[in-house]
Amino acid sequence: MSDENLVLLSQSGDNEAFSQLIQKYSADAYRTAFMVLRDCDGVEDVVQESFLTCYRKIKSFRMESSFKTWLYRIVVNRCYDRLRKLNREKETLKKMSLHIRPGHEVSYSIESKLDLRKIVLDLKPEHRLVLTLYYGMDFGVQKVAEILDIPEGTVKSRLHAARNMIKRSLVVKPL
Amino acid sequence: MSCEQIQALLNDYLNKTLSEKEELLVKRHLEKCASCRSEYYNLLHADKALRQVICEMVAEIDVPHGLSVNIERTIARENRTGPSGLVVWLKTPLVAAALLFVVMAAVLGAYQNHFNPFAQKQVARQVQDEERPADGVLSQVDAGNSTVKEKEDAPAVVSPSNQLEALPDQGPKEEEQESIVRQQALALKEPGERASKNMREIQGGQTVEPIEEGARQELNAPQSGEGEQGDFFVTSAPPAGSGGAAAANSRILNDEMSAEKRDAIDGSGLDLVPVKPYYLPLGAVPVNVTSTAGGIFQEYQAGDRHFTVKQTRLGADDQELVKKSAQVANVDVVDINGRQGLMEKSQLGQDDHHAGTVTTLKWRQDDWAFVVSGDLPEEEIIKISKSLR
Repeated sequence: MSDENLVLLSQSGDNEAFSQLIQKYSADAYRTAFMVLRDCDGVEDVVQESFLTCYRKIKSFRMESSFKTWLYRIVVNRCYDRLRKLNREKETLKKMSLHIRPGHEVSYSIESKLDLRKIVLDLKPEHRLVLTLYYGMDFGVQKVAEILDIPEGTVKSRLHAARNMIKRSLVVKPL
Repeated sequence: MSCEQIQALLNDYLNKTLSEKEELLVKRHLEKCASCRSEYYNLLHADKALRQVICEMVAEIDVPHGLSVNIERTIARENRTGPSGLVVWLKTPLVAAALLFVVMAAVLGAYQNHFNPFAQKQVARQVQDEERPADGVLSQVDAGNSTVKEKEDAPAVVSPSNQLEALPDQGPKEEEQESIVRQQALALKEPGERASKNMREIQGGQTVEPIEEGARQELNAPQSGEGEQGDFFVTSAPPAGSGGAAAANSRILNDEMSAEKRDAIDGSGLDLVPVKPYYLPLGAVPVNVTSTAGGIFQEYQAGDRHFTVKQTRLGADDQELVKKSAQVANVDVVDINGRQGLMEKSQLGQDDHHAGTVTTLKWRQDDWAFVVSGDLPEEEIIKISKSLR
């Protein structure tokens, strides 16, 4: 059954339909939240609160976007709430940077996945979120912009910056 | 299109956000230009590496077992408890106002019953009344000619419980109304109007209910002129449940108090400090202290015996009184810490419940007149008197 039909049934009070939406998206919602919050406790709480919000507001959901996009917007906002609450963003601003320190640039090898992971993990949460949604959840640029409520140009620039950063860290072999 | 322009579009080419026309232009340029193709491959490689890393990181995240079940349970709990409905209901202004009113009424009721000093005072009076019911009964027996008027004047002298019954629309369970009634009862007991009314009507002895605090204060207040003698003698009577008390009170009530005297008493200060007997007979405990305009009246009880300590401001007539008292028979002169005290004994009638000898010791010190009296041995009365500080 399509998301649209499940949403329509949920709006008419069919809890079973909403359960199917939960089963369909809860795992990816959890992974996305985890990618943003990482070692932060309470990822499950964030996901539960997000679905609870969806459930409460499902009747007012007009399907101007897909349910998945709507759900991810709620999850992302809950993640940001959590970040603000724990004041983690302030700490990560100090240690996370989009730019790699100059001395590290030459030390990365192509096979060093750990280094690539470190680059990803060292990104600001909002930058990592763009990569997670675009690469991990297969959203297009437009959807990512919609979910994050930011301009498409911002999404593109973040993707561009991340690729350039990775490109500089790789020893490119011509195809 | 130049290589610079093409390379500026390479990221969008990867993002697939170019128009078909732009995409075709880039594609054709890359087929021809090795430099741009190399740049494109570098970007493509980074893109693939990034995608791979991100996908691996996402895939490695362990989703908690039963996550969706937990979410469903949370939602089911929400449905069962239905907090949203309750919250909406509580947020209704009318309901909120009604709830607030009920809470405030409950708090006010609790305050009236437990913390209101007027209510507490009234309750204390009720307790006092219940503890000494025989006083009024005995007085009624003594005062044979006062019963009818007393009953007519019932609203002013009845006990609080009678007043509660007399008031209309009294709900027994309505605490607020009860407290209001208590205050009304308190208002009825204003000493100035009620006690004077009673005393005018009562001739030759009258019921003096212990609860009538105002009346008691007036009765025990020091009097000048005619009332003085009786005032002194009232202290010689045992306080409660005693025929002697009734007789003494009768003498006092014969001396009708003038309105001027009452006004003077009511308007005077009560900043007197009571003297304290540092010697007390075995088992003696204070049972009542009455502060009046010009003096303090303390009652003590030691088993079935009583004694009183009265201190009053000394006026010009008091000295005359002492002289008069010295001329009375059965009066002995006793030394009270260097002061001359006059001690007399009076025999209570055989009809009284507590027939016996009452010893009264009077003396004056500085501007005060002291009277210690009671049905104790005279040695005890003297010891008590000497120990007053």
